[in-house]
Amino acid sequence: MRQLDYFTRSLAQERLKAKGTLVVWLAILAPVFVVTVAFMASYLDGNRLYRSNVNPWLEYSGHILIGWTLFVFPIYASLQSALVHAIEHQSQTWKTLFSLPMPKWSVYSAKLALFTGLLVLSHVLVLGLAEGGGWLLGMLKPHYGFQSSSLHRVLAEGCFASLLSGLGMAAIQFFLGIRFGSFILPAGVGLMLTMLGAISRSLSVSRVSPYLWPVLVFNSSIQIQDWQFTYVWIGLLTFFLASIGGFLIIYRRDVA
Amino acid sequence: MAPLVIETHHLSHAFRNRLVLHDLNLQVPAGSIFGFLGPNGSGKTTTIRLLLGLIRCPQNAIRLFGKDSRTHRLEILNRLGALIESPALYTHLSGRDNLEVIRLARQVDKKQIDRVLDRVQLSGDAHQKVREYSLGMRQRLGIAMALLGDPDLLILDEPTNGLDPVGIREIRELLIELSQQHGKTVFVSSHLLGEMEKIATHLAILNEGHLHFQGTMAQLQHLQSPVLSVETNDNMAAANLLQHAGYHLQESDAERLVVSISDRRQIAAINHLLLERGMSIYALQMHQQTLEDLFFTLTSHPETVENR
Repeated sequence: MRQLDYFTRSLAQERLKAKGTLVVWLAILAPVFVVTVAFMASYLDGNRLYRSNVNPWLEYSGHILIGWTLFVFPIYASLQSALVHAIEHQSQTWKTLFSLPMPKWSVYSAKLALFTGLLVLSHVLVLGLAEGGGWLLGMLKPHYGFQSSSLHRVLAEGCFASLLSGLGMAAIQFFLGIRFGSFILPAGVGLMLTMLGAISRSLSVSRVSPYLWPVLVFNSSIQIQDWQFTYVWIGLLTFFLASIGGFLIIYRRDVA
Repeated sequence: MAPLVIETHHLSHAFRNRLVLHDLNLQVPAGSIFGFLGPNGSGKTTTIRLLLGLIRCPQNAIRLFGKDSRTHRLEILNRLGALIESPALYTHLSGRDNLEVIRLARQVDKKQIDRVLDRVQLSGDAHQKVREYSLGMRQRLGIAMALLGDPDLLILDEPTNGLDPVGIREIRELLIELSQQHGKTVFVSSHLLGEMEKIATHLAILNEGHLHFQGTMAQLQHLQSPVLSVETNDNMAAANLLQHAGYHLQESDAERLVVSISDRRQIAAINHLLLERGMSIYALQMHQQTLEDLFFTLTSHPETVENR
């Protein structure tokens, strides 16, 4: 129970420290951006995108999930991790934090929980905004047929698979953010690897990149039966290992 | 003798193979105001970081409240408040929120926040963002953070940095009150001897990682010895002569010589020596060494004091 108490107090500290920073805004703006782009494309160019007798949600959900997993999610996770760590690095507050009677594991796990929680929030928003956008398209452009069909389960499972398979990449970024005091380095590495993944996506070697696992889950299909859930398991395993690595950095670090 | 709140045993530390602390044996009695003095770069902050566990140290090298700092980290940190160098603050948060971060860790009543804010006279600015604080306000907030939770031991690294004379006096009075009225132990590092002289009951003097003195203020004052200022018609020749005769010269230039002496009889001896060699003596004047002079001697010519 004492361990739980340490964790909840550390988490309350992290929540307080995130107040007034960009971390929450980024968690909201990233999903808003990807859904807005898909919504605008549908609204303005829907007559070309959607054919009669074909569920428009398939194309619309595909745009959102691929746009999110291929570009926005990896870039967002890189920036978010750098921002979360910048709270301590920029003010050099590690010395304050580690002079307090709190175990290092609780400080670390609360930071990781906040970061992961923000990723969960973003995925919930992707799902909610995508559903809301589709509903709005049904109202504004009834001839597309959004109101007469749905794809709730695919969208929900797609968001969930994206989150879990992307946790590996997220934990690597979290590790880099805690290891290096600079904001630019972890954010830059994340951006470079995301770009590299997008360019080399057709090559089989690109499958080893954790930055591509969220998009590789979908196997270029919006049908759940085609999805490759192996990337979810690999993502979770990487999350586990990179998280332990990050903790060891914190545990052994001298605050000079 | 009061129990020891801080003890270090042969504590040494190296940064990238460069030894910055040499065999430090500190003994800080409970209830004392322990001045930890030394010039910039002497190893004071490194020592404080080691005491707080921010830098790893060998087992049993540091004991706080009688317990090994490596194996009882949380228990020890629960009883101490610290300010390390310039206070590290969350500048995007208000002063009150910064204290709330500390309060959450220390599990103390919310009312304590008001109490410490009042104590450092920041109540009126508590809701302001710390990025808008002046250097002095930040320093006072750092002290408030150290005071939160009513710790038994305060470790303060240069606490009066950035404060104006009024602020310095307030902090001085606060530390004296904490020690004398509430029985707290205050370990305070500084490079300002004059400031320490006014509050410290005990002192340690560190230079280039070596501890040159440790004891009470009275013991330090006991080391103060007189010096003799000498002016002759040929100061260079007189300097050579006195050094040859085994006297230690603290200063030597064309205008005057300053010689360490142990008693008044040495004045007569020096006078006799110079006259014997046919020198004209223009002035012989004895002065009592100030604590500042002593500090300078300890940190620049420690061998002269150690021989006393």
